[in-house]
Order: sequence, then C-alpha cells, then structure tokens
Amino acid sequence: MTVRVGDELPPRDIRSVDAEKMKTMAALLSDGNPIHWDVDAVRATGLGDRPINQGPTNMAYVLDMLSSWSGGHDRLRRIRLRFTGNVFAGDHVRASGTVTDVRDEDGATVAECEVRLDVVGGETVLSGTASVTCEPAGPDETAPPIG
Amino acid sequence: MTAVTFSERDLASMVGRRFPGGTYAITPWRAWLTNDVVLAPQGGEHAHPVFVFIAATSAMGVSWDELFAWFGATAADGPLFGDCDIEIARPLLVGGEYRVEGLVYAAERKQGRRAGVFDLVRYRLELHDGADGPAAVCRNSIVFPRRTR
Repeated sequence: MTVRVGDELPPRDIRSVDAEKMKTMAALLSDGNPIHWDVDAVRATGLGDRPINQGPTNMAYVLDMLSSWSGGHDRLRRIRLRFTGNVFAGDHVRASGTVTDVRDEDGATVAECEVRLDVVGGETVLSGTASVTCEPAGPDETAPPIG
Repeated sequence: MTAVTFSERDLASMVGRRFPGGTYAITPWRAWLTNDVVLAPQGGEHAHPVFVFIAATSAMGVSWDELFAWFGATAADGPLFGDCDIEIARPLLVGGEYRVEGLVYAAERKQGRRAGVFDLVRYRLELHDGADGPAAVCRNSIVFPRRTR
C-alpha cells in the first residue's frame, strides 16, 4: 500500500441514518437518554422532530472509513475527535479524510490523517485527526500457507 | 440547564476522583450488534475500535446519570460530548475481557460568547487486558451548560 501526503481517503457515505439502529445502540451503551428514540423527547429539547444519533455511532462511521482504507480494525493507533453537531434520523452523512503526514515507525508505515464527518448539505459534526498503520502490523495474512 | 449552584470549588474538588471501574467483555453478540448498528462488516478476530469507548464507559462503574450527578447535573440539563481521544496499544479482540479504571483529570469553568457559562470536565479511562500497560486509553470530555442565576 503506497500512501502519500495529500491522498484523499475513500469517503464513507451513510445515505440515511436509521432510527431503528439508534434503539439498539441505546441498549448497547446503556444510554437512557430518550432523544435517541422518542420524538416527543427531541421536540421537548427544541432540536426538531427526528431522533438524534448517538455520538459513538457517528465516531464509528469515521473509524470504519479508516479501517476500510487501512486494511482492518486493528490498524488504528489513535483518533482525536471533536463533537460539534448532531446527526438526525434520515440524515445523509459522509466520513472523509486526507493524509497529512506519512512516517516509518518500527518498520510500519504510519499515516496521520485529518478526518471529519459531515451531514451532506449541512454542518460538520465531527472533526479531528487519526493515526493508522498502513502495513500489516502482524504476520502477513496474505502470505501463502506453508506446506 | 442547571443554575450555577455547583461552585467552582465543587468543580475543582472533583479532579482526581477515581471511577469505581469494572470489567467489560466484548462478547460475540455485542460485537455483532455493534457492527450491525454502525453498518460495519461482520466477522474477524478484532473488535470494532469504537469498543474502546463502549467498553470504557460501560464499565467505568457509574451510570451516565450518576456521573452527571457528580457534577450537580442531570441529563435534562443537556450535558454534551466535547471530544474523544482514543489511543490503542493493542487492538481489542472479540471475546476479550477488559478491566476498566480511570479518573477525572481536569475540570474548569468557562464562559462562551454563545454558550454562556459551562463546565468542561475531562476524564480518562484505561482498558487493561492483563498485559503490561493499558491495551487502550480513552480520554473524553463532557460539557455541562450552566445557567447563571
């Protein structure tokens, strides 16, 4: 995998954020805030009339973009993200990123990236930086079997 | 928003407070459901990296409501995620069990032009897998809006 400063990471689009997934995530997170499933609760906050996606789910969209590009969930070294907005049910969101630095570290290529999550046609809801390993961190899983 | 009855001295006294902690297992069913929720591919030995946050906050030893109460707030006050900083030394594994420990390491009162008075609280949670040093560290911040009286 050849990585260069300025490379754009393949974006990841979620065409329509699903309110049903928010219910499952609320249970996984033990997050009892009803703004994730109860439209009346969202209305009461003055934030509209659509359930609000959990922050960790938004973060996961960015993480998946990085995993898809770098080769797996085991490639992430660090990510720093600032939460700056909300994603609502039905929103189209796009995770994207750009390589800002490439270095060799312990024999592995490490890429520094600027990353973000935008509501398409709306605001940026997450922004930050990430470090990912772009070469196999362990044994080469693509190598042919021995014997 | 909470009226500012939670003083700056109260806030400062929270720095250094340790979480009770606990353990969290990335069971196959949790891994599957999480991948499904975030539309990630299924399978593989490595857990989705969002589990650093999920495991850390699920096993910090207090509920979100209890954590808010440490700072004189409730969910109705509208606490917000500020930022999240995740460092991974060893990828988390499906089937892995992690011991979580951590503490509040910073807290300060601020005044924003639009936001008004708010408290910014930073806490750190470590995931330990039995090897030397944490497998992962999650540093998060929470913004507590405060209404002046």
